[in-house]
Amino acid sequence: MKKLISACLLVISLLLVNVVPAFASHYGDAVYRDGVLGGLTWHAAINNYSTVGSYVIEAPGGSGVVQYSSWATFLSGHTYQGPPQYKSGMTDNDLNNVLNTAIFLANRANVSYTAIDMMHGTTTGTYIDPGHVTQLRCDGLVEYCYEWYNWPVLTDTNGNWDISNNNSMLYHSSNYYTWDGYTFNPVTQWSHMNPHY
Amino acid sequence: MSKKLAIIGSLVISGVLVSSFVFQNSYAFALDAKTGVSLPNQQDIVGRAHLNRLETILTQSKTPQKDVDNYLKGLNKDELLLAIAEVSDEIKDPENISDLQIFASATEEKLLGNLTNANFESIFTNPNYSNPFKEYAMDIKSTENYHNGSKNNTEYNQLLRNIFQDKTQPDNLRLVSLLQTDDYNAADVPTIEALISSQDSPALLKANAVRILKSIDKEKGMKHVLDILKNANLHSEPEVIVSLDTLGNYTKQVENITDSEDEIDLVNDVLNQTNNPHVVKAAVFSLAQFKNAKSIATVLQNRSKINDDYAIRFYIDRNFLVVADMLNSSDSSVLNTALTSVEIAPFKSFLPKITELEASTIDQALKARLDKIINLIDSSNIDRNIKWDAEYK
Repeated sequence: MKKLISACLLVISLLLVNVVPAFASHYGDAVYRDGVLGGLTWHAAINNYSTVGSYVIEAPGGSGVVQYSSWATFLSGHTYQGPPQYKSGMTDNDLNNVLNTAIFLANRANVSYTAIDMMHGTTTGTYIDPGHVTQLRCDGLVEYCYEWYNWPVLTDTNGNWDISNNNSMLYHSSNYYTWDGYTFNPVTQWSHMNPHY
Repeated sequence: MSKKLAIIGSLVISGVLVSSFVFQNSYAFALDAKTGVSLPNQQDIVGRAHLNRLETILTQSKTPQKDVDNYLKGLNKDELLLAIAEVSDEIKDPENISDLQIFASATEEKLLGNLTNANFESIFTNPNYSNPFKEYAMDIKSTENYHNGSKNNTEYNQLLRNIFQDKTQPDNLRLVSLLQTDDYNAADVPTIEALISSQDSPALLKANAVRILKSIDKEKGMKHVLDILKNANLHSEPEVIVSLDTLGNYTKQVENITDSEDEIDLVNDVLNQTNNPHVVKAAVFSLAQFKNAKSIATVLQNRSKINDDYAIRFYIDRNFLVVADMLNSSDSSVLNTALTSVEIAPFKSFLPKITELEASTIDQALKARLDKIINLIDSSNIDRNIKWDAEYK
């Protein structure tokens, strides 16, 4: 009987590992995991921690659009690169603004994926609001949601930081460099943020 | 892979390269004539020559990302496409192709503008190519268009139509091809309506087909939107969420924002009947697009159902100009709604108007409420995001 109970507990614990992240986290934090080529390329998402069944909002490609995903779907068999990240000085209010911007994009259900640039969008003015974002990369989703609310994540060599600004957006592509000499990608983004816990 | 290696991996080429890089370089492809590429064959893909080399660099290099970038940029366009096909084949979950971003920089240099329609057709129709490889090919085309400010030509749009109409194609490719077709016209209406009514169409495909139908034929599109929202419990989450988004956009589009009462009542009904947290948020965001007092009152009436004052604050941020205007109202009901909004979202930008109201009112109860709001604004230290004003243009 004890063996049966132990087996059941083991199965339940394994299921939980698959379903929920094993860390304290916060709405709006950025979370990262590694990829096919290990540390060479990572995948990023925005934490939606407490909503059951949709622990992150991500731009994964494949399924085609920015979407709610389970923790297991986000990991896709890869390794979580904790702890969650944010920008120092952000309050609950700031992080909820980041999260709600991500939810806005997920609710549109037509923001498709691009692996080549961080973001594409349309505007006739200075800023590209969430209703006019057309394509995002995974780190582009994080970059956009933070910078739409004026929390700079990555800044290029000329001081362009705001990916929601039409004049700065394309400087966030892979052929440009951050002010301190890094390429724009999820690993760079992770290293320019701060651990939340 | 250690985090240390990952950090090292993100270090990139020296400042000399950075300073020599000019904006025009990444758009040089626009001047290239399309010469086409030689597509990878299956034998080479499974041979994994480039993938093996990448893995060797990754395990042996002290600056793996720099060395991988250099390796990829040293490949010619045919070799680069083969390397992309090899890594695409390694992606176990076709629902996530984020690994392909390592090719971004080399793709910009070597492939944008160089694939012909014949190349794309061969990629899309070859069953030996993986879905991530096919989706990346679509990404190459859409990025090329974005950088050039151009659109698909007729032949490429037909390739996309062939994919989203084909039920045997994977869901992801059908959805991306539906979203990237950019010359919809009246002749597409029967096909799009067939996607919407088909029982076996994936939910996201059906949802976006409704939005596209509305862009071709407003009357027919809105008929589907209204039908979905009036019978929300009979439809999938994506259909309901996209219909909520489309409803708000439609009203804004026709600039009929003061006559949006019926639409707001419909969103209110959806809000009242659902327990799905995603639909609740979508309803709030739909209401945010109406930009009027009734919308704000509807959100506040549903405050307990929404159960997230941060989401309501986000809504008020998007509607700051409407709330600011309502603070000028002589109608006590409208003013009360506006003040409740400020209590939930005590932005500094509301302070001048609240202070003015406090100084001018002789109603002692109102004055006391305004004093509390002034203290709340002072202690909260938050302000609106002025970028949302772009939504009013």
